[in-house]
Amino acid sequence: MSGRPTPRPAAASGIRAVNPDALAGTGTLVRFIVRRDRLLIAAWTAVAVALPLFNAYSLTALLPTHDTRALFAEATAANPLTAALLGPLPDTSIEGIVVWRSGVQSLIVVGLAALLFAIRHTRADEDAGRRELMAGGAVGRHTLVTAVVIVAAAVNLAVAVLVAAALALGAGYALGGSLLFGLTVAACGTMFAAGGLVAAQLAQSAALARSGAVALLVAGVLPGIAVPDDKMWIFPAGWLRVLRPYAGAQWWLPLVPLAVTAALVLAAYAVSARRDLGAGLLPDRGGSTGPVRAGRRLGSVGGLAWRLHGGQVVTWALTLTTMSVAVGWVSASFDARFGSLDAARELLGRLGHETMGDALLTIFTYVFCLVVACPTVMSALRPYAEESRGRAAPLLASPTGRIRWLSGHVAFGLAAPAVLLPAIGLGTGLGYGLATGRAEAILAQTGTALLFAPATWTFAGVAIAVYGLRPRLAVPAAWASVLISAGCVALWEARTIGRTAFLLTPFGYGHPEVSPEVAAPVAYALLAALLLAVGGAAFARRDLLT
Amino acid sequence: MESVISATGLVKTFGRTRALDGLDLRVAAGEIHGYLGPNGAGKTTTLRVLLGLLRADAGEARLLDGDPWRDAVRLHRRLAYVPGDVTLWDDLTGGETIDLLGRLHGAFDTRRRDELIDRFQLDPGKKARVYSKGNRQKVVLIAALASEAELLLLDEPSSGLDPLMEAEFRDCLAERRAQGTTILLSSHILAEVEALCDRVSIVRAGRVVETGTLAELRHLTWTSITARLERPPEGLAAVAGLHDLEVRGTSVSCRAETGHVGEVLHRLGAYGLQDLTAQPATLEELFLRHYRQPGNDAPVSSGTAGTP
Repeated sequence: MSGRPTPRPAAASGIRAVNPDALAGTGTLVRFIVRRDRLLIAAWTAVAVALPLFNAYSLTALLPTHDTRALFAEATAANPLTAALLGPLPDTSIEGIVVWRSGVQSLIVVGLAALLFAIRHTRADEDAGRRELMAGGAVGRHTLVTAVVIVAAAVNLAVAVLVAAALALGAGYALGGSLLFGLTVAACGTMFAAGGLVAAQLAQSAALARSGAVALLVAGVLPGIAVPDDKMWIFPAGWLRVLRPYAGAQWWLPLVPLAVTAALVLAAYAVSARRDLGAGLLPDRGGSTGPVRAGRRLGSVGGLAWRLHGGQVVTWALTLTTMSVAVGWVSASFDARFGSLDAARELLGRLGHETMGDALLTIFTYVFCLVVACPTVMSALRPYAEESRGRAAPLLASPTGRIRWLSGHVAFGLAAPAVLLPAIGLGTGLGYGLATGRAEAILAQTGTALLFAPATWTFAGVAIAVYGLRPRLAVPAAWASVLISAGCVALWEARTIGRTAFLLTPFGYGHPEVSPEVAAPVAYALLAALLLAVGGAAFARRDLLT
Repeated sequence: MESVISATGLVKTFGRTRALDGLDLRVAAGEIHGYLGPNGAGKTTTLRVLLGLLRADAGEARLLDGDPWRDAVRLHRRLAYVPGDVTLWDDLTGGETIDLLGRLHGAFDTRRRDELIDRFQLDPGKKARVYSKGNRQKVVLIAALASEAELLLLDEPSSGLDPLMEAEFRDCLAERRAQGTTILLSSHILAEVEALCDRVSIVRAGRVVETGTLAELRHLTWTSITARLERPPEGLAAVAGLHDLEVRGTSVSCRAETGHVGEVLHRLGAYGLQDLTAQPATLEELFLRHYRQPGNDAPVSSGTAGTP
């Protein structure tokens, strides 16, 4: 603000310098965002700090001596997927391995959190009509964008400081290198927040903005699959490869993401200052008009679930099938290139496969099947979303009974994995079959993938059971069950937990290193049925949420 | 008369809040029953209990010929409901939503649907997320009114409607009453209730504190009288049943207790009555009487309810 008081007429005739009002209310908004998201921010910080710390402890336990690390480096160089995603291992010191392993993971965590956070406070609020409420107050044109960037930068800075402290004090690594690693990750996180802000300005709906921003993140973090090494410096994942925080540190590097951040924020300013409320450069595909009459099938809760979410399942199925075909094809081609390496043979021995291609195929299939747990849980949580947003009451006030309403949504949720898993099996089998000429792979792969269905249904069962008993806990409980099970996969692979304990989690019996038995999927199918029955019975007896 | 809704001593608590606190409600067949009360008085909770969406902690409720909790599905075939807080599916158009709700109800008249869409001037091809509040309200109103139902439960149904649509809505309700439909109309738009309702219940802090026809309710209250006389009156204050007397020269305003109007008029006549207006209490006065009492946080003592 200029300190010199100007008489009113002069001000009206207008000295058009920077308008201080463009940022009016930034402080208030920053406090509001922090207050509204304090738990989210705490979780975001905790995960971002815990990740490198976890890697430091687990890798130290796994690779205690110089010799083991040398062996590890050799095995890593032999693994084409690791090499493509993480790049070459820069040095064999333990801290070198830890930051090499943590870099991409950290980028994904801070990047995803930051861009979702940015869109949540901008386009999502605008979609919900809350932006209008706020913009009606004394709030400047650039206030919201500025406030979001400030909070995102502050959270990332806190992450940087805590990561440096944890690695330096907890693991005993050099403070300078730890700080540089933390700052680089933090600068990238802030950059993705700014990317999210630009996406939110351009896309006309929060969903569209999210897909765009996540696609940018994937391109920035995992380009190694498609991009040759000499072009990697264009991407954030490549910046991490030249960083080398503990050996030949490049201290200028965090300035690169910061410069990109500044450019993105200016772009977001430029768009937000020019566009109308609710408008965007990229129109939402769904549009605002549609059929005047309901289609034939839109006459039941199941039909409603299909009408609302069927498109998503189709998208998931197409995406997973396409990726599966690619993965099946690529797996087969690895045989020729890496089949002779020692490290590869050792892996084959553990998995009980004859060729490298077979081994890779089972691993990829397993990972894809794990992913299917996510859309399953999302589907299973829809009854809660419908009820808590007040859309259940009008239907339950019709002759639709509670159980019919719930089973309409649940049936759709259970059908989703029953479609997605065969899609994965068919895709991987087809890709592999095309590359090797072994058509029987299609049937075998479909069977393997379908075997996983009871595991995903168990997560749906947990979601529905908790929804029936304590609806407000359904969302955290369902996702916690998935996260814990996924964590157990890592613990089992690190041999921290035993086979029996691992089999007690739904992800256990399908693991490629666990020889499959029929009893486990049957048991999980029964467990899922029991959980669904409990949830249904409890839902029929309780009050509707008000 | 036969009761379509009868509730006795309903209690419903949410944590420490007593949303319903011994609520009694009776709605007779074929009437439009106004259910009045400010926000938070328990109107919506009552409707949700009557729909079997909530289970009462104590008391008994009968709806048509069944128990609202146990016989929910069977009873819902015979009624239609308009919720107070309308949330629709963002991606469904208004037309799709109306059809969905109608098909789930079962007995749904598509000709009437088209007629109502016309009457309420709704664009059925727009997605729900771009509708204004009034248009969202129209969607659920049309779905409810196009359903064959012998009972309509309406929770603040006209909120967000413009005056033209509000008039259209009143016509629709009057037509339904002519066809014999029973309607429970929860509202705080007093003019609407006054124009439509045969009987009224006033709810306060989870209890019905007054119930009856408008005439009966007015019977309990005083008539406002203003008069211009030929000469200044004297000694009027002593007249029994006369309150709030204000005399300004030859102008007099006062309120007369039920049963004392004749005597008041007789006494005024003695001073040469030139001009007179007498009006019964408006619903607003009846309503405010229950909410402007000192210390109205506490439940009203049972003595004020229904006793002449």
